Amino acid sequence: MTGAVIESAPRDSAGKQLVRSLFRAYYARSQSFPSELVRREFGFGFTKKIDFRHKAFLSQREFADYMQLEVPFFVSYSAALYEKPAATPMNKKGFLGADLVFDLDASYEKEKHEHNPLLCSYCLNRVKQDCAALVERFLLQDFGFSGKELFVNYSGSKGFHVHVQSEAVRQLSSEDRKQLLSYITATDLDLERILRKEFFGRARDSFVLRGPSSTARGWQKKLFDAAYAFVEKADLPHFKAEGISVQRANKIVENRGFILAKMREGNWDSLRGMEPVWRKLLRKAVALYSVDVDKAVSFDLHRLIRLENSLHGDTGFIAKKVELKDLPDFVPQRDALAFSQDETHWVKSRVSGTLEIGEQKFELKEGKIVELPENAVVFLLCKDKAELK
Amino acid sequence: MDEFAAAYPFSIKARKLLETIGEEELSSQRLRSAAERLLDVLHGRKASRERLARDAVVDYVLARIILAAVDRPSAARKYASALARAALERIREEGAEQDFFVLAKDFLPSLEVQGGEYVVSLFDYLKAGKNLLYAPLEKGRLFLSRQEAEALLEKAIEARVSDLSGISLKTLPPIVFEVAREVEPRIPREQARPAAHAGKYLELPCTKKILEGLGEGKRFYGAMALAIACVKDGLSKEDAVKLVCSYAENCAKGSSPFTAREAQASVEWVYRHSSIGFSCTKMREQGLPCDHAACPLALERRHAK
Repeated sequence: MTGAVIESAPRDSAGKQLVRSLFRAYYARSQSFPSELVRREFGFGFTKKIDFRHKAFLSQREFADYMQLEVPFFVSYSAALYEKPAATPMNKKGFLGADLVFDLDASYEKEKHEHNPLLCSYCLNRVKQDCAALVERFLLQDFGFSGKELFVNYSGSKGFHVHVQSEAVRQLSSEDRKQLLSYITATDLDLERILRKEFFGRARDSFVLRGPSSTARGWQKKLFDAAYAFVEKADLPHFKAEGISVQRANKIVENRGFILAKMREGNWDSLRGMEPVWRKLLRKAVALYSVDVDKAVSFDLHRLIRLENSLHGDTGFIAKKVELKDLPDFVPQRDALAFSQDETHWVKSRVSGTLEIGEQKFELKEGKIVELPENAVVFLLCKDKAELK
Repeated sequence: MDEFAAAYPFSIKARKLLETIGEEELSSQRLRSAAERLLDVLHGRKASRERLARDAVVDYVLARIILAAVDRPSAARKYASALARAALERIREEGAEQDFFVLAKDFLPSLEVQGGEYVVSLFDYLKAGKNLLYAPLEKGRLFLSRQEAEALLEKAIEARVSDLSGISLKTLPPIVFEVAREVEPRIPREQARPAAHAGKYLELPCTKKILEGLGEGKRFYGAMALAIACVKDGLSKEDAVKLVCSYAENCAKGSSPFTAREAQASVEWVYRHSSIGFSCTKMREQGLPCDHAACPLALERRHAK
């Protein structure tokens, strides 16, 4: 077994037994099923995220019985639908189509904040913001999916998943999905194609800088809006922050109306020498508007994804399905808890640090025995950061 | 209907005409005649407009079957591209506005004209294989000029005609493979050359030499070496597949041809194990071209030591 395998499940047997009994109790009172369950392939993990796959069920009842009996620590199912989901190898399954799934699990550790390696509320909030941006900016606004076709799922650990389920989406090929990903992440967006020099003479400076106009759509519209808003609203400190000299800033302010009118027509050259400024602004806008998603999850048609409302074996949190309207207020370490905040257990911590769960804060010290609520205990046991006393 | 089917043998109307023809025995003479038409298209020779619709449609069906048996994706792409281009040229030259909309209904079913703009759904746009990044996209629809709509229709036709995945090789009679073997050497070869963004590995003398094709016994290792060079140079998998497939076409056919599928499999494997190293020693061990003394990579590695 590798280190990663050992890390992802409670190690000491007493702790493992407790977690297992709590997981079993959870599945006895709460069961969730994917749509079209009989057409899905399932994968289960007992020591790691997926120990085995190619499992299928003929009914919800059969699935529920399996969960009760086996109590896996991780439950995943295929975004794809198959004629024979249990068949192997993959090409024998009879692929019928696949939901479109986006996985957001980017690392925000490098962003300026006090990172908590145990459970970081800043990072969870940032990934939630990105998830909301993906849904609002791209899936609803640009791709035109309806809210009814989408659902958001907290992964149960550090990320979020967004599922799109519709007949049309199921027929998208892997290449089609790559196009959607390329659009969302904008990693290949070439600003030379957005801001173009239109030459009208032989001299090196005989050109007009053309950019998106007010009627642009897609990424061009996003970039137009960003630059337009900047010119419209920026004052001297803003210009300075973008490296624009006071002299130039004054010129922009004096000619603001004229510059904006020309921009609306797609002429970004009403004030000469602005090209580097535009490029810098557009680069910032691309970084601001794009969303970093795990590409492989979306274009791999045979990928397994965590079952909504199942428990995550690395945290004991619920991989909770979140209504779009509830997403802004959703706090995973408060709203995705599966166990009691009143029941407590004694554990010996293997780490020092602060753990915030269920709106309570616990100071942990390595080697110290502490009494903690069940949710915190399960979290630490799953992470192998404590042992049961 | 007949004239339309003859001009656009990939259309639904042509398919309907085919249904009225019914089944007929697949003679070697008929296949060879279709193969000649296929070669005409691939060599850029224009077909006579006087042909019977029935012949044009049957030629089209047989050409795709022969292409599937030849198993050279670049030839299928070239054939599809020529047909799509010819269709759009005809529409433009003859102002065949109605033809445009009849074809659009088949290949871009969501297309409609709104306030002078041609509007298509995101799904139709993606199926045509167009790049989305710079597209005028809003609420799941793309708003195009006439010129852009024509270009999209051309791409959509090309994408569908070049997709031979629906043809099961197992069900084809031996005569098809016989004709495919005869035709294959006469199909123009695509110049195998690195993509514009090739880096130092694809610029090496050994990889350039491999691209020209290798003999039996070395073809697989050549494909692996190229795939590794592609991954090291940061090429996308799609570009790598194109490159390695064109290499496969240049390889000696021998007793059994090195197929595009085998070439693609080597790219798939290498891109799944992207940390793999480019080994000059392995190249020499497998008998691949390697001039160690003059190799810039070997020189660079010696300097690094």
